[in-house]
Amino acid sequence: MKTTAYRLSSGGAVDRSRPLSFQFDGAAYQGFAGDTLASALLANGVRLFGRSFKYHRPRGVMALGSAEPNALVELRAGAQREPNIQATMAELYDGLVARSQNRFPSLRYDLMAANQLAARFFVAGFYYKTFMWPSAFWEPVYEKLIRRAAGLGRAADAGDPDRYDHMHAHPDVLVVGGGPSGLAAARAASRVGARTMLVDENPNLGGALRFERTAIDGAPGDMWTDQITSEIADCGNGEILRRTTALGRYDHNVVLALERVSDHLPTPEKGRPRQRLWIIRPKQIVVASGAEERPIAFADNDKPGVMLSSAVRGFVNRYAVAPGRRVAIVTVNDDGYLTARDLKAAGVDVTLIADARGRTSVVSAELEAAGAPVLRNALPEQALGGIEVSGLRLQNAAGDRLADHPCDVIAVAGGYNPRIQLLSQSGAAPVWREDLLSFVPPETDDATQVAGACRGVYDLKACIEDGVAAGAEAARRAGFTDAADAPRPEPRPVAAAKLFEAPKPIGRSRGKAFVDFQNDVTADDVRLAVREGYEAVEHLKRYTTLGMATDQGKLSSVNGLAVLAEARGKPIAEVGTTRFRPPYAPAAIGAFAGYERGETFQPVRRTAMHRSHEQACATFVEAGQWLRPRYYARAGEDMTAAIRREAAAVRNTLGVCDVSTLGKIDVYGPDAMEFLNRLYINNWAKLPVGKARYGVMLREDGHIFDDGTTSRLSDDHCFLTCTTANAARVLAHMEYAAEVLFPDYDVTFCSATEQWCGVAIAGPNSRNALGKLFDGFDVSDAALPFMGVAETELFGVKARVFRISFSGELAYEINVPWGAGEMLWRRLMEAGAEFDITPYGTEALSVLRIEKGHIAGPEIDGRTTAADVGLGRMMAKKDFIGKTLAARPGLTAADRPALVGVRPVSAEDRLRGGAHFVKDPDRFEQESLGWVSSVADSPNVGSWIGLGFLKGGAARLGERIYAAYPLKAEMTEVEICAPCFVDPEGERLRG
Amino acid sequence: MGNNDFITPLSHLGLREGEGVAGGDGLHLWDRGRVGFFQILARKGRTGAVATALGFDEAPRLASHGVYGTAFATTPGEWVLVCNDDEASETLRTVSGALVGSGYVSDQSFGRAAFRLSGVKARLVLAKGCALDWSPSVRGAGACAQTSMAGIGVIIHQIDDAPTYDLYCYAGFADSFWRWLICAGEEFGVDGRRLTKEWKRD
Repeated sequence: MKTTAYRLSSGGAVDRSRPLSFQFDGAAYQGFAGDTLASALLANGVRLFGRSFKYHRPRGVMALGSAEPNALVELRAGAQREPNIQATMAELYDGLVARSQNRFPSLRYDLMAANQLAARFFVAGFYYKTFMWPSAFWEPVYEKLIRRAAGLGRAADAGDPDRYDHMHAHPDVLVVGGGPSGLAAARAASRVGARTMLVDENPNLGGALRFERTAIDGAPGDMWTDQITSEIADCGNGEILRRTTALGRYDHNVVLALERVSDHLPTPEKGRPRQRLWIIRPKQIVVASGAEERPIAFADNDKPGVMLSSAVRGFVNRYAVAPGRRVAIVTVNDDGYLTARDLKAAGVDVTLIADARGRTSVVSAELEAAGAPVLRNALPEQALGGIEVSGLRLQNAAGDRLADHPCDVIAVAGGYNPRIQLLSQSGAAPVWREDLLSFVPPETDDATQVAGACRGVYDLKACIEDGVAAGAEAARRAGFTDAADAPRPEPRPVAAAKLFEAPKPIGRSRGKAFVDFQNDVTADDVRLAVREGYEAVEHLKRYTTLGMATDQGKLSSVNGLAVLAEARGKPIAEVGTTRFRPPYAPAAIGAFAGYERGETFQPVRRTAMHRSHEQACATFVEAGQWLRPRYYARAGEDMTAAIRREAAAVRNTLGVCDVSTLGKIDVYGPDAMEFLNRLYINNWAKLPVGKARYGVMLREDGHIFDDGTTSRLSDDHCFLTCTTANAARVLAHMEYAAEVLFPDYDVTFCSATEQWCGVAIAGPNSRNALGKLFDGFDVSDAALPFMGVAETELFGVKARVFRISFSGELAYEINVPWGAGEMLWRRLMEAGAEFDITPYGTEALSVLRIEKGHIAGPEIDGRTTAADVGLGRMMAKKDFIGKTLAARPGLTAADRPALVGVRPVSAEDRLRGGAHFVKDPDRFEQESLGWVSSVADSPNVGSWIGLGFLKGGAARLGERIYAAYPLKAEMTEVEICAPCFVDPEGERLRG
Repeated sequence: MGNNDFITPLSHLGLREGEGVAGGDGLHLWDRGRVGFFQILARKGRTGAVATALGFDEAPRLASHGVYGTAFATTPGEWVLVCNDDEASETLRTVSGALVGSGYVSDQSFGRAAFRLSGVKARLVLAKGCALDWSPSVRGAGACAQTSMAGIGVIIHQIDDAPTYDLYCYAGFADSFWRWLICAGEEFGVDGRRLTKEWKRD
């Protein structure tokens, strides 16, 4: 176990009584409860955390929270391994295992760092330039190379075993950020009765207070935070979500937030998700997301040991960790002095404060008087050292080199950037404030308040006042009019030097000055992009990758824009910013999927007979959301054999098929028949009670929409069926027709799909089986002729028997209520046993209907007309939906492909759905004469057969042409025939 | 109705009718088995007559309780009427009689699954799948809604302020919906392993 050489003996909020063991790159370390992985590693003297994206430069910790660009590690192992976790956000737990990324063979000796030697070729846009020629190399060579080199970290090889879920919330006021402003806002809103939700991405509330020694009303910041937090939690209408990051803000103030429910634990507790995605629809939102300190671009400013001043201070104050032994501070404002003061109080040696300003301030004068080593007009030139910082090179304002300063930490205070990402995401363009040297949110909408540092109010007292006022205003706008009106404090100008990029090093230097650490974008890259014409800020982003990935401008934005502005000779305000994009911080893809993955990707519908199918060893297919039996393979049978057996059984004796999934609609009313007359192309007015009829519906544009059989059960009650796939659409179509097209019709209807389950029994023995199933029900042809319908009873409940056939055999459909479905199946199997009753699935069903030339989904694909499928003569003279447009020239042209049958000339050849009809067998590229829509390996015909659409249609019966299937390089000679292969006279059907 | 040989949408899981599961933290959830479930459809221009005949409220979002059971207005001129299974036959008979000339009733009792969810955590279970706001200040006892949860069309009815919710979905979706409910409740102590064990997809 290594010593924790950099842990301070006192102070901080870590729990020294709870030591935790963890590993990084195989080495064992110890930290304390309350540590992050970053603070625990720093406490152990580890400063090298990873290698950079492009140049493989050594990198350490730079920031404190979710802005950290460098210290990205792989966390956990096996299927739970996750790359690119910010060490500053990873809470330490006992047994944590982390690994550095993007290095080979080790973090300290990374061979890929040789990329730096070729750095002058790896400038912005290098692969657009480098991999241009020869163009034939692009896909086989260059793309593979780039893909191998690109990316950071490794995804887990196995599926994610963790659970994720979603939660909806509708607070009156949502407060984003649990710092002083956010807490004050949440308290102000909740105390007047507004349902208030506060989200904060850290495990502890308090925002910046957590990292400061600041007292509020004489008490430590944590005490104030605890006090306000309990007031919010105890008022009865406040909800606080810790470890919850607002990822994105969308139209109508919808906010997505990610709660890391279990990421701080070794494994999630039983039943608990790892992460939870909140979908929040607040009436009002208060954005109190604070501000991020920004770095300064100077040579080698990415070396491990160069850190943000606020981060150095925070590691000391919160985690009692000294990031180094000799700290040099580079500052443009008073923030560097605050760091010096806190470090001194903690006993950490501050050896230099290099202030870019020439003038003194109250704070700086105070510290200087107390003996702080201040150097004015001093600008950083370069961070010195090998892998880690060992010194700081400085220039003065006149451009003269100053003496090198030995140190192991350079704390950089470059000013603050308000965290405006959430506000920018939804389209509000940020406004540059020269007096604040930062972008601030624009005037916001009626449902949004911005409070505290996020709008440039940095003084703590003012932040709290601003939060109180914003929270009250949000509550009032949400309808809680008791909320008091309070003045909003205005941001005060910052007393800072305007320094985004330090002067270039004097003389020759290979140092790189980074503006975007995560994407390895330097100030020189930005200038190069401008020289090459990528001047617009959005172009610059895409050409250089500035501000991409998890950074999203958190650290990189303003410095990059400042360099761009200078290169273009324009003020920053004119250059503008890119639009930030969600997510604000990284989130696991699993959180977005939630429950909807794998087997539960979408809900499934089971028919009442599902268990019977399982017992009969059905293989299921998803038809829409339904699970339908596809075929029932017996022992030793493959799918093809099973389908052939099932299809033959129907023709030879008896088959049974679950047809419960068909859409069923009860249609009621005196005008029901007239309504059907409008829906269908054929005549319905004279359909007698007790009869069924086949009908075809068109869309308004004249193409076929759906088909099915509808029965008349009484004078004012019809039972309409439609295809499984179109069930919901047909109901919606009918609602539209009844409400909009025919509002005067006295008709009403509702879905009855699930009330009734149904089976088809088909085959020469179907009447015999039916007779055995029912007692005292006349199944004779006279009593129940073809297209006859009867209502009766079975098992003591209502049953309906329809003499209809999709297979072309003597067939019936029996409907019983859902609960009786399993019993119906069982009794039918018993009744049909002597006829060798055979369950058949959707595949055999398809074979049978193709043998008969009955159309189904592939023939009703939204592009065909009734005439195309041979049903043109069904179109009656009366008016019906789609009639007018069905008559337009395009849909009545003589050369439209029309339905034909097709069979291979050689009985051994197979047909393929999707093949195109062509004339010339010697080439695939030629005019298509039509296509094969459905095919079947027919046991009853003895060869493959198919249906298709061919120009000239019925006029070409007997012709021999070719079916081309380029995907398998097949060219099959086929004969065009009538689209009916079995019993063309329909004798079996009416037997 | 009431034939014991008939299946309910979850009988393949071996659940006895009305069997449920208690989580910790005051969460109970159970399968109600079969209930009477009727779609009431008013004829053109007879919505008021049907409402009067059956004592229904025409307003959406609130259930109306009458002698025939509990009704939810789902669309102008349409209601869903629910009652206990043992009253279903009688309800169908009397409602059909009351509607002659003014509307129709479509018996859907076998076509639906009915679940009940109760306890202080019930609201959180709902919030995992339902985008509507069920906070007490927005919806209380008597509130009803026709919406979608976990990708499944549902009718939700809050029957008391415990709160207790009745949820209805199509019978075919019952298995998927039940598994989702169990999964959502596991965080609150529901142990659904036995109650979902027969799951098998080929």
